[in-house]
Amino acid sequence: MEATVKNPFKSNYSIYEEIDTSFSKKFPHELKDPRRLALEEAHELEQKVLGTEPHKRIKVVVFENSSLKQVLDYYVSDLREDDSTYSPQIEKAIENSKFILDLPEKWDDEGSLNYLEETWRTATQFVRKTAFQFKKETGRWIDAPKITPSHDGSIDVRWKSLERSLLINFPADSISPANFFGSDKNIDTIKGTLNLSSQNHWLLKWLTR
Amino acid sequence: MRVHKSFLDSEGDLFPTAFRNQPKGSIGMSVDWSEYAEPIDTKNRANKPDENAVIKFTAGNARNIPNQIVEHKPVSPPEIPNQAHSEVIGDKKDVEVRERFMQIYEMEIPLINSI
Repeated sequence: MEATVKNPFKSNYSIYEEIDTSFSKKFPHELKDPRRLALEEAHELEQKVLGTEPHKRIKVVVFENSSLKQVLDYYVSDLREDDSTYSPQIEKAIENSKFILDLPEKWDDEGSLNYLEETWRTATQFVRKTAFQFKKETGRWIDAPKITPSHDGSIDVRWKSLERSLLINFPADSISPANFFGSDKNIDTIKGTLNLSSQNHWLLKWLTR
Repeated sequence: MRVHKSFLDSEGDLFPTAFRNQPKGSIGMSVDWSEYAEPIDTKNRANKPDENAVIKFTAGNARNIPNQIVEHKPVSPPEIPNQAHSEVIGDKKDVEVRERFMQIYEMEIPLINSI
């Protein structure tokens, strides 16, 4: 009996699919098996923390008859407390921004529509994912941005450093791209649209340059 | 310029969307020219002054923002007269426009409960 789970944030393992393939074949009707539940919890947490799709980062090597729940329980608690993968300051900013979802229509006297949870998730996942990518590359967390309601159901994310600032607008229309503008108040500016499926932490590197 | 508390966060900072043309569909953002009004006058012109902060920026800095024009447009009777009334005309939905306003404004009279 043996099981190992590697913390993907401390190493660069690629995905192993044994858990879904071999396990499902062996126990097709036992979907509530503790091992499956534990893995689902780990994947959910991974998605929340990193904004990545499940299964992309977690390496799970499962040997027959292993006590996966025990291992994954350890993994999950380790991930929650590990400040190398989790910024309390950014999580607090995201939590505080939930008020956006409760704003009534026309809160701005301009007939603004209700804010969609999808828009909020897009914006906050971007914040988590980009901050984590920045942390991985630089070894430090960036300060939390301000996440605020904007026009026409869109959401603004604004980051500031000592010298520069960056505003990103996430439109309510999920087809339209997010727009950004950054400036040092002088001549150094950046402006454009973002492909949210790509890595965009270069924005934060520019911000803190 | 007067800013309702709806556009201020718990630290007293403005939301970028505080810089907007209003009412909806209009082409400009209402401000008062300091030549003709003190900040407290601007605050007191609100329906509920205690729910409003007052910020300032110079007309020159506003004109340096892309596609923004500043015009003095005094309000005369039969509306409530306001010699200071001016407008910053131009689209405010562009991220660059709102971010540049964020960079040039200064808080003049903060919201009381955000101090």
